Amino acid sequence: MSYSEEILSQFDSYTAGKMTPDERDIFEASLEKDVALKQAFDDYLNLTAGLSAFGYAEISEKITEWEAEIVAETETKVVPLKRWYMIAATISLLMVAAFSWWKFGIQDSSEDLYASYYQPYPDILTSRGAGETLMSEALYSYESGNYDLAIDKLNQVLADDQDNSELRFYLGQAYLANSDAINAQAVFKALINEKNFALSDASQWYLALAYLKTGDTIAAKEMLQQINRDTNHAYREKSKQLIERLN
Amino acid sequence: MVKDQLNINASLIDKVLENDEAFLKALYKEWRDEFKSWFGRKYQLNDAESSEVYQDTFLQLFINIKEGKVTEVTHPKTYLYGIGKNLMRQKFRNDGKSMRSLEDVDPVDEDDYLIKLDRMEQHRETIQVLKHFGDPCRTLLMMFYFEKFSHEVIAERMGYKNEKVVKKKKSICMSELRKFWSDFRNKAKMI
Repeated sequence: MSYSEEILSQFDSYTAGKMTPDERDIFEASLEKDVALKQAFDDYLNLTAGLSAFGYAEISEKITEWEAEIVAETETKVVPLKRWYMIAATISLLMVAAFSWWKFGIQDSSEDLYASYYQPYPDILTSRGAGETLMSEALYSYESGNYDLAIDKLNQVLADDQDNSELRFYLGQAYLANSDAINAQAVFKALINEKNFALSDASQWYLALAYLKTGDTIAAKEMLQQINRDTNHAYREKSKQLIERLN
Repeated sequence: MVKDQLNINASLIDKVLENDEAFLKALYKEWRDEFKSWFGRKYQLNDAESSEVYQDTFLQLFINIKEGKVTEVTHPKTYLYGIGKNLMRQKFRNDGKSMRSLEDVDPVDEDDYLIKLDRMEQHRETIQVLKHFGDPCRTLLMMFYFEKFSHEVIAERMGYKNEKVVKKKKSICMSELRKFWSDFRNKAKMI
């Protein structure tokens, strides 16, 4: 049952309390008699409440952004995201996976797989109470999800410290998180050949994901197979699973 | 600038109803440090906790105005602190704790302050569906059901010929959303 203009107008008037007592009685009586109408009305209530919740969720995200901006301006330590926001983010990730499955069918697309496996790499370089430096500001922006600002600041730091592999790694992370998989690939490609680099395994894994993000499944598979051949690789198990799903 | 604007207390409600982001952001910054300092000392909260309370309180202020629970705010900051204190009372009640400093919480009608964050949890599925629901339908429905704009205002803002066109478009959009939502729920159950 679709919502005709007349039905929708009735629902709007009823919920807004704009009906006369007689109109209200008639409307409530028809809800009792007509199962389809009752179902349509219940769905209407759910959807309109959902629209409000969506609006408030957007405002709440804005507030979280404002807070992060203020903290970034004044402190170097990371303020934890609000509890509900973290829960919502987790649920959101799961729902995105579910939505993608529904939208594209049972067969995984590279975008689905990317969404299933991608998680931003946490900031392990800065610590609470660390001095306020451009680097810590950049990483704070990264942790706060302000990726444009993070990229800008990381590039500023790297202009004077080009060989800083860790920071280049986070630049790649920020690009990837910002949906710029092409630039992320360029950064990670350079990093996977670095010797004695603590984040080498992670660079390989994220390069594979960056390939997936752009739909280059051949390059992604090659990278994953390379990871899989290394028995001590930190991402070997995940790579195995991903190869299976790609196949 | 914000301080000047805040002197006109009535403007707070208008600005919230208009979703004036620049004003609200400036206001958020304006009140933040004092609020955090006061709540931090009063309830022995650490920095992260007082930030969380402030964010929730500010959101609740927004929701209360948006939903018409308050139509006049003579002293916005006092109102804000009242919301904050009630959120604290809820928080400690939920945590099964008692606190001496909560005894002096304003005896207000708690229904006016009950946190609405739960609603976002309850409707997370619809929120997710709406993230993928395209425009102009989403904007139109948000303008009517969240912003509470009239059909005439929507016609003007979205460039439709008149309110009749908006009503027609709205019924099409709601039908599409219902189908979209229903399909999503059915498929999600299969996973």
